[in-house]
Amino acid sequence: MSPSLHPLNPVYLADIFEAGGESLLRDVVATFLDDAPRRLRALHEGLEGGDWSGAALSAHALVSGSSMLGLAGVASAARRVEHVLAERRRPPAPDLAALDAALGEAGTTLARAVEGLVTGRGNAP
Amino acid sequence: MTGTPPASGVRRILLAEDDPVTARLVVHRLSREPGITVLHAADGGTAMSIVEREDLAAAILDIRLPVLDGLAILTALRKSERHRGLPVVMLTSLGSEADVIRGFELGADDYIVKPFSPAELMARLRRLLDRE
Repeated sequence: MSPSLHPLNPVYLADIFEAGGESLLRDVVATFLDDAPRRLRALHEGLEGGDWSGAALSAHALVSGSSMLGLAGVASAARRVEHVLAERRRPPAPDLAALDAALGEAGTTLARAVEGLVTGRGNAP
Repeated sequence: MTGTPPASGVRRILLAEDDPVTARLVVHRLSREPGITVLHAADGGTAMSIVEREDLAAAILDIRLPVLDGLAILTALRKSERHRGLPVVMLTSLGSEADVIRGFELGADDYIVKPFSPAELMARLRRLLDRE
């Protein structure tokens, strides 16, 4: 992840909250946190098994879900991995590590943002 | 097939999207529209089963899908007598301009880039449905 890239653009979660309230917000965040580890595991299994297409699909799903929630850090890291996989090359270890790290922080980042929105305190870290 | 509401008054929209977050947000927004039912498929094979089985008013297709990608589904739709005129919106990712061009070449009516606002997607879809 780029050091200058903030992990979360709060506009997306705020829009979701406005559109569907707390239940939709918590639902989509829980959906992402449930799905993302499976995608990451599938990505690594794809790499180990030489299944570049499968790994790229997993990376793409991570890009989709994270970007829809405004998780800019995860989306950027996953996009970088996806682009390398699209060329049927193994992503560099630092790129994979950056994705692992960004996803590792996503739960805390999202939880803080959700609580900020539902309690009306904003979502600044 | 066109976007004209059937006698039941229900317009069925196919959503082919494997990311559950995107799917949840789109289903939530579209389901708020009176007379719209969303049929969600998480892979291209399931999407094609829905295409064969259901009377559709429009389709929203992610390009990157397991089993069969969105461009292959679009190709099948445009080759089909029944679905040649079906309004289709493609979902693409940032930096996938080649996919957008390919989608239009294959007959897509519109596209939207992730991350997108579900409300904007609904507005684009409504424009296509009203055109029919």
